[in-house]
Amino acid sequence: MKKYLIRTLLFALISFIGVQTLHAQGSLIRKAKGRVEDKIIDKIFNDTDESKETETEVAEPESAETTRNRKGSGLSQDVPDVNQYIADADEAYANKSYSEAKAAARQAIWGVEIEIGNNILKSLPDNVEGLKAVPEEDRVTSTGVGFVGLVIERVYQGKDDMELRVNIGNDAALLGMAGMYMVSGMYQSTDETNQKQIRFKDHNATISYDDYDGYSLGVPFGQSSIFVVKGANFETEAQFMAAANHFDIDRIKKDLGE
Amino acid sequence: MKNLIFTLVFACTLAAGLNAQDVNAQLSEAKSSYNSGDLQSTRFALQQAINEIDKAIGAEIMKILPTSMGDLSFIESSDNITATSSGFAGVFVSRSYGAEDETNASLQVISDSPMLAGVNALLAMPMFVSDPSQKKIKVGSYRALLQKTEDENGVSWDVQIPVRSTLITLHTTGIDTEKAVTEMAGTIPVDQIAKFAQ
Repeated sequence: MKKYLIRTLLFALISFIGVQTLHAQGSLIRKAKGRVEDKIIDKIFNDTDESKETETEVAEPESAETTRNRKGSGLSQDVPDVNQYIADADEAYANKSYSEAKAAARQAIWGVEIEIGNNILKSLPDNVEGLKAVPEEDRVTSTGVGFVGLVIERVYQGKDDMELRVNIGNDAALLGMAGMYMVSGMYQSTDETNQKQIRFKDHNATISYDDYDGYSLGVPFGQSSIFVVKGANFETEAQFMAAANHFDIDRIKKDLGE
Repeated sequence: MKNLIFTLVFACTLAAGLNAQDVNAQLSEAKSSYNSGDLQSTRFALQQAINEIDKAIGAEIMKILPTSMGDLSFIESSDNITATSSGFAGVFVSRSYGAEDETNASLQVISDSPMLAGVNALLAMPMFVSDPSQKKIKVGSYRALLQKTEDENGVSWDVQIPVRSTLITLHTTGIDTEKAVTEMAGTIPVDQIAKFAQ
């Protein structure tokens, strides 16, 4: 009897311990379940604290990112040595390396056109109707071939967000065609009221306006050149034309050898 | 006959000499103009020099073009070299094959043209595959576009082979089979042309 009593007590003890363990495990499961539910709810309602925690957890270490450039001073702006390129072209041609001869001659043209462009930039006014030239925006672009030719650009800026952008294109076959189109009188047949043909310093020209870009003046000159002025935030056509009149087309024409 | 050969050789030598002298003269003029500060004359002389160099490149390409295409022999009088130095096309070389009958072919090389570089991109576009009259083929190791045209004059084929900024075009008329055309295209020395025309 005593033996049965001891067994019963042991069973009861084991059962109690087991129930406690099961209860504790159930509690752990419930807690874990509760956390998962909380996370889902937070995610749905975009809880900021949890979001930050999640972001912190998934953020990749900096070392794993692609290497980004943090220094460097760009490309050197050496002016091509025209005489050297002419000598190179001569030598390559003598050796029947025609492709090299052509490449060297192109480099020489590039150097010459850069010089022509820089000379024209120097001849342009520094101030136009209160707008000052922005030297950092000066551009001379030369491809060394007639397809695009030489493009010179200068920007003037001033009060009230006004901007005048001057582009001079030279020795481009496409510009030559544009010039023919302009002088053919085709513009006169349009019924658009936002552009008209005018005379600008003894040249046929076209002036246009639209609300987005403002005023624009195009003047084809010489055999294959064009002078384009674009003005943003000018009050009137007269104000824009007063600015455009500061530029000496004949001087530019002479510098370009047109 | 000896006199004729001598005259031809002399004429060729003279032509080559004039050509070489032109380039050297233009480069010399460019140099002297530049040193005297005349930039416009320098540019003009350099452009002329490039024009002459283009002619020399065209002559080299002409030398390596096939003298026959299939059964068709080339027509010497139709050989043409044009140098523009305008940037649209540096050198234009063309050669024709065949007689006056309806079967003939022509080969054109247009080099140094920035606009033609786009042909390579066009070849990669899938819409070209969907056109039943066009198909991509290989000529040597180069991709090419084969186009068939049928009209009241018969069948004609065009094979266009773009190599960087150079376009080689074979046009045939009166040749019926694709196989014959691709065999003709296979005789074009694309590698050598590309070497000169680059």
